[in-house]
Amino acid sequence: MQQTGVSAGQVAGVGLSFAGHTNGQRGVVLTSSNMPQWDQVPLRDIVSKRLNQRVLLDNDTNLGVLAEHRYGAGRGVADMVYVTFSTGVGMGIMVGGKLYQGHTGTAGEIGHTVVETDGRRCSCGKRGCLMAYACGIALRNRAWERIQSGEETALRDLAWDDPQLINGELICEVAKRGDPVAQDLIISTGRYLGICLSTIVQVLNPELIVIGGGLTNIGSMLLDPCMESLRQNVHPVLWGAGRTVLGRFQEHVSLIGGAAAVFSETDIEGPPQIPYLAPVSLDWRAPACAASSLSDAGRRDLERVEGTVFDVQRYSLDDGPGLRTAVFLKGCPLRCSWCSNPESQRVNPELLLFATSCLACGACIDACAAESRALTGDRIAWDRGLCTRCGECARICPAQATVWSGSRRTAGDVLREVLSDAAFYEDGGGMTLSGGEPLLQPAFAEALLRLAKAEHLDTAIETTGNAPWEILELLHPYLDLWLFDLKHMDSRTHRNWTGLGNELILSNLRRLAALGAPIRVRLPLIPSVSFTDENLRRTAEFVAQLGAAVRSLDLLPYHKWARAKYEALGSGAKWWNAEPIPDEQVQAAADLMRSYNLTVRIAGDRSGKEPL
Amino acid sequence: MTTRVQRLRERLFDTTPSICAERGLLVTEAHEMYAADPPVLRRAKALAHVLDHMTVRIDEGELIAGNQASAPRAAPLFPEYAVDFLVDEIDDFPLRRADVYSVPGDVKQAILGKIGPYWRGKTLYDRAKAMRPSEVNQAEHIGAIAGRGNISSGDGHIIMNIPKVLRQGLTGIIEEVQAARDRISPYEASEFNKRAFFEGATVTLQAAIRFAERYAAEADRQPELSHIADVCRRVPAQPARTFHEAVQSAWFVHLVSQIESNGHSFSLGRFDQYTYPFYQADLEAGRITPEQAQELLELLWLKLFSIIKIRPWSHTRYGIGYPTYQNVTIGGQTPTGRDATNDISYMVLETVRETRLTQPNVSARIHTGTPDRFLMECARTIRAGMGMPAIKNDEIIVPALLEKGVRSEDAYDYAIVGCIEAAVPGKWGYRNTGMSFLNLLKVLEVTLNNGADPATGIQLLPGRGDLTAFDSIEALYDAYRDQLGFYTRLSIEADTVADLCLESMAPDAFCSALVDDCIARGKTIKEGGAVYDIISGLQSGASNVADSLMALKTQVFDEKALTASQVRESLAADFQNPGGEVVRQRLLHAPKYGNDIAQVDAFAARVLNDYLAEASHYRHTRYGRGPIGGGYAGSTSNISANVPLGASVGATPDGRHAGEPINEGVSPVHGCDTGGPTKVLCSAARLPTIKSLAQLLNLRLSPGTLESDEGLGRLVALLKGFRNLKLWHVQFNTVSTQALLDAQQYPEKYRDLVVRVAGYSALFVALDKATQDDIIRRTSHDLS
Repeated sequence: MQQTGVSAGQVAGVGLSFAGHTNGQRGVVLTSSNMPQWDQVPLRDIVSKRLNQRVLLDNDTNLGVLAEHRYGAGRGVADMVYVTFSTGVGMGIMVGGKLYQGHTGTAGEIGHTVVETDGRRCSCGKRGCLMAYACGIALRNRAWERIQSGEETALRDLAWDDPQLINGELICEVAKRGDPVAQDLIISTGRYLGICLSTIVQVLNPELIVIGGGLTNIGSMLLDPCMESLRQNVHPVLWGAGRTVLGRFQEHVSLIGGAAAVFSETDIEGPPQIPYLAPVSLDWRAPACAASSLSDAGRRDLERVEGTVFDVQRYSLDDGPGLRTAVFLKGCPLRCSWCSNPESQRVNPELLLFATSCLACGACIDACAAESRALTGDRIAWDRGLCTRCGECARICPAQATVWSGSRRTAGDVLREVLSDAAFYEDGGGMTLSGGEPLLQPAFAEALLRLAKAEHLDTAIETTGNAPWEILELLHPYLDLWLFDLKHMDSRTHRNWTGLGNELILSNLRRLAALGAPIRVRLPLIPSVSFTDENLRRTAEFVAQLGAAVRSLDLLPYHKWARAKYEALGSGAKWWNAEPIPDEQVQAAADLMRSYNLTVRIAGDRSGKEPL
Repeated sequence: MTTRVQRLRERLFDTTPSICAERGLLVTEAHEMYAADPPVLRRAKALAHVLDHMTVRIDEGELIAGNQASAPRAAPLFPEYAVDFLVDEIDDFPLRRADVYSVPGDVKQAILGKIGPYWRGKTLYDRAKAMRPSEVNQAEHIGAIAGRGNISSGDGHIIMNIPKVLRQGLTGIIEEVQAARDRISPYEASEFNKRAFFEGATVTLQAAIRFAERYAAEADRQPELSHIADVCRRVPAQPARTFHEAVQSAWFVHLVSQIESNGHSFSLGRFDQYTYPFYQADLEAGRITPEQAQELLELLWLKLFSIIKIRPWSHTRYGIGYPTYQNVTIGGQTPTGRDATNDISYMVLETVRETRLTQPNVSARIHTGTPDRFLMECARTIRAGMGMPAIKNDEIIVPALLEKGVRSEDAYDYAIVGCIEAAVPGKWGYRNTGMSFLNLLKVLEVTLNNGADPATGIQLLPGRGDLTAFDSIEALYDAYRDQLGFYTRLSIEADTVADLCLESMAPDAFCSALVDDCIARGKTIKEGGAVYDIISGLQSGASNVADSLMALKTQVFDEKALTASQVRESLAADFQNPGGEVVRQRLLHAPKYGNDIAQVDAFAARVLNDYLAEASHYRHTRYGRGPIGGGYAGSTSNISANVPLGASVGATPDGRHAGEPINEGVSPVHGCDTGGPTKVLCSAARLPTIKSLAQLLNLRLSPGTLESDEGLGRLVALLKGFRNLKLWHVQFNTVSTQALLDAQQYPEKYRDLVVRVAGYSALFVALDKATQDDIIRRTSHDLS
C-alpha cells in the first residue's frame, strides 16, 4: 500500500490466498502440506489486526474459481470448477453461481482422492492419493526414485545428486529432448490428472472446467494424455457435456481471485474486467489431431480399451467397399422383431445351444453344477433360469453345439485380427464396425477406429443411429462410410416393432448428413412393416432431402436365415416368421424409390451394376 | 467365336474319345525293322516311320493343320511303355466310370493280334517292375506312395525351346546338330556314343519337316487351301515370318513331341511372348486383323484340346477328366523384370472365354507391376467358370527359382509346366515335378499303428508303438519323422527306377534336340542334357496331417478331453463304435488348417519342411552329368490323386472317415476352412513355399460373387492379397453347388460344363462320381 500509494480508506478489503486446507468462514488455516508447522492458525484475524482491514481468507483454488468466474473463462457460467495442477492438486467449485465449500469448508480437495489402492504414500499419511502420483512434488519424487533405481536418463546428470534441483520445467525440457524416463513421467502424470478430471465430470457434471497451475506450462505433452484419459474414463453420456479450458491468469489467479472474493462479499462493483488472455480450449470430444499421427503412448492406451465382441468376420462382402473385415460389437438398444442377429442384442456374453449340432451325448449334463440341463428324449433340455453362465457346458461340448456368443477383447487384440487380412485391403477394403450397435460401446468403437486409421485402413460402421449425437460426432472424423439403418419413418410403428421411437435416429441422420459424412442409408424391407407404399415413399422423401452426403439408399430384403440362432438362444428370443418378399416386388420398391432421384441398391442382388 | 470355330468345336464335342491303333502298329513295325540300332536311334527311326505313314487330315474349315491320330479325339497307342493294360482293360475302356474310350473292332484286333504279343514282357513297365525293390511295391500297395504312372508312360512335363524353332527353323537346328556331330572325335569311346543321339536327332527333325510337307501336299489337293500349303511348306523347316506361320510352327513341334512319347504336360511356355513380335509385325504391315489373329488362336486351342492319351485305370484315376495338362503361360515379366503383358496375353484370355475348353491349361503370371486391366480380365475369365486362368505369382516363383541356382534372366523368364510347376522354358529337364506321390496322411496312419498298415498288416519299418505309446505330441511327431524319412526314401527309389528305365529304353531324340544344351553336350535330356534339372515328387495330405496332429495335441495331450486309447479304438472302428461319434466331433472341432491359426498351420509347415530336409539328401540320375541342380525340391501338385490316395487311408485323428479323400495340394481339408478365402490364403502363406517347384491351392467361389464389376474388383483384391502374401498358385472354381448337383443328375444338359479339378480343368460330366462329389464338397466361399 505504501509502494502504490493507496490509502487505507481506499481499500475495500484484503483477500488472503493460502495453498492448503483452510476454513474460510472461520478464517483459519487448518493444515498445509507445504508448511507442516501451520496448524489451526487463525490467519485472517492475525492479518486483520495488523492491517486493520476487512480480510478474507480462502484457499488458492476457491479463489481461482472466483477469479475465472468473475473475470476469466467462466463469466456467465453458473456451474463450474477451477482445478489447479501445481505443487499440489486442488479444486474450487462453483454451483449455481455460488462458491461451494462443503459442510466443513474443505470441499474440492480432489488431490487426496485415492487413485490407487495401497498405492504410494501421500504427504497426508494415506496411501494412493492422486497427489502422490500427479503434482509438482510427486513428479519430483518419482523422478528421483527412477534416478536412484539406476534407470538410464538424462535427468541423472542434471540432478547433481540433489532432488531439489529437479522440477517440472527441467523434466519437461529433458522430455522434449526425447528422454524416455522423463517422457514417461509426464505422460503418466497427465493420465492421472485425466482420471481426476473424469471423477469431477462424473460427480459434478460442470458446464466448465478451467485448468490452471504451473504444471500446465508443460503443454501438450502433459495435456494430451490428460484429455485422452479424461475421455476414456468418463461415461459416454457425459462426452461433450461440458467444456474444458486452460485458464490464462497464470500465477496471478489467486491475486485476482482474492480481489474477486472481496468484491463479491461486499457490494462494491470493482473493475468490470481486467486484462486477460483468452482461454485455450482443451477439446475432449473429438480430437482434432490427424488420425494417422498416434503417438506410441496414445496407441498403447487405445489398444488397452476393452469391449464385447461376438464375431470378427473376414472376407465380408456386404459391409462396404472392397474386401473387409467386419467386427461385430455385442449389444443393441433396439429389439427389432425381425433381427437376423438375435445373439447380438444383449450386451453381455451369452450361451447358445444349437440343437442341430447337438449329439445329446450328455457331457454338459454332468458338467453343469447348477443342474440346468437334462436329457428329454433325444434332446438336451436346458432350464436357462437355473443357468449360472459358468460356461462349463461350452467348454466340455464335443460338437461345439453349446457355444459362447461374445467375449471381452481389447481393441489392440481385435485390430491385430483385422490386420491379418491387411494384404487384401489394397483396393479400398478395410474394417467395418457392426453389431449389435457399435455406438453402444463408444470408447471401444473409437479406439478401434482410431487404431485402424493409424494403420491407414478404410473404415465403415453399420449403425441403428440410436445413440447420443455426441457419440456420432466423436466417431465421425474416423469414418469413411456410415451404413445407417432406417427401420421405419413413423415413430409409433418404430416403437412397436423395435422398442424405441425414431426421433433420435432421424435427428442424428440429419445432423450427420449436415456434417457431410458419407452415408449409405439402409432400409430393411420387412413384409407388412416397413414394406408399405407409404413408408417407402416417406423414407424416399426423407432421404432425398438429406442431400449429397447420402451416397445411396440400400434395400435389405427380409430373410429367414436367423431361425437356428433364435432356437439356440432359447425361449427368451422369439423368432419372427414372415414370408420373404418376392424379388419382383423388391425391384418395384427400388424403382419407386429411384423416382425420388435416389441411387438405390438391393442387397444380395448381384446382377445390377452396383451391388452392395 | 467365328462360325468356323464354332463348327469345329461342335464337332469335337460330338466325338466320343476313341483309340487309334495306327501309331501302335507303325512303332511295332519299326522296332522289328530297326532292332539292331542303338535305342535312341531305333526310337528316332520309329518316330520317323510313324510321321511318314500315319494318316494326315485337314478337316473342313481348318486353318491350322496337324492331327495326332487318324480320327479326332482318338488316343494313339504307345506300347513300348506299357502294353499289359491295353490287353487286360481292352473291354473296360468303354465302360469306365470316367475317361471312357470307344474301341473300334479293328483296333481291338490290332492290339490283341499284333501289338500285345510283340510287346508283352519287353516294355519299359516290365523292366521297371523287374528292377523295383519289393519294399517300393509294398509301399505302393498300401497306398503310402504312388508312382505307377511314371513307369507306364513317358516323362512329358517339359517345355521345348519353341522360340528357337521360330527363329531358326528345324533346318537351322539340323545344321547345329551336324556341326556338333562333326566336332566329335571317333577315337574316344565316350564321344562316340553321342553319335547315335546326333543321328537320331537329325532323323527326327527331318521327319518333322517331311510331316509338315505331307500336309502341304494334302492342301495342294484343294485349291482353297493354298494358304495352308504355303504355311506348311515354310514351317517348321524355316524360320517363321508371320503370326500364322508362328502358330502353325509351334503347333507342329508340339504335336510331334506328343507323337514321339506319351508323357503328358507338354507345355507351350510363354506363348504370348514369342508370338507377339510376329503379330505386331503383321499388324503394322497390314497382313492381319486382330479378329483374324483371334480366330487363329481359337483354332490352335481346338487343336490342343484334340490331344488325348490313354492310360491304365490305375493311373487314370489319379488324373480324371482326359487331362493332358498342356500349359500355356501368359503375362509376367521380361527377363529384365519389366511387365511383359501384351495384346496376345489379352487375346489368350479372350480365347479361353470363347472356346470354353478344358485344354490347354492357361496360367497367368502376375507380379506387383501387373496392370490392373490384366488382373480384371483374368477375373472376368475366371468368372466364366472354367477355373482358368490359374494365377501364378512371380513374387514367389522368381525368388524360388533363384534360390535353386537359376540365373536371374532365366528365373524371370519362367513358364508353367503341366498344372502349376515352374520351369525355365527350353532349358529344364523332364518332369520338374510329377515324380512319385508321397501320401503324408498314410504315413501318419502307419505311425499311429506301430509302423504297420492297419488294412493289410504290412509293416515295412517298425514303429515306436501305437497311439497309446506316446506321452506327448513331440514324441509322436518323432515317430512320424522316422516313417516320413523311410517312405521318402522309397518314393525316391521308385523315381530312380523310373528314370533309369526311361533313360535306357525310351530316349527321345526329337524333344532332346529342342532343349538346351542337349546338342552342345551330345546328350539326351535323361543323360543330363538340360541346363537345369531339379525335380520333385508330389507330397499330398499335409493339411490332414496338420489337422490330425493338432487334434491329438489339443484333445489328447493338452486338454486331455480324450484318452489315446479312446481315439485308437474309434479310429479302428471308423468312429462306428459306441461313443465314436462324440470322439469324432471333438477331433473335428479342434483348430483346423486353413483358418489362419498359427499353431495348426505350423504343423503343416513342419511336415513339409521335414519332407524337404529328408529329400535334400538325395540326388537323381542326372546329378553330376551336366545340369545345374541334380536334386529334389518340393511340390504339392497332386492332380486328382487326393481321391484314390484317400481311399487307402483309414479313419484319421482329424475326424476324417476311412476312405474319404485327403486334401488336395495345400488347400484345407474340405469343409474345414470356415473363415473365408482370405484366411485360407493366410494359412497357406505360412508354408515353405519358396522351397517348392509347385504349390497347389484351390478356392471355390460362388459365381454370384462375381456377377458385377464390383464383384470382379473384389476378386482382383483377393488376387492382390494372394500376390502380397507370396503364394505360388491359386485357382478358382466358380460354378455353384446347385449347378454341380444338377449336372450330376442331368449330365446331358451339362455336356460342356468345365470345372477345375486340381491344377487342370475337366469336363464335369466326364468325371467319376467320387471326384464329382469331392469337387462339390470343396468349401464354397459364398455370400449367404
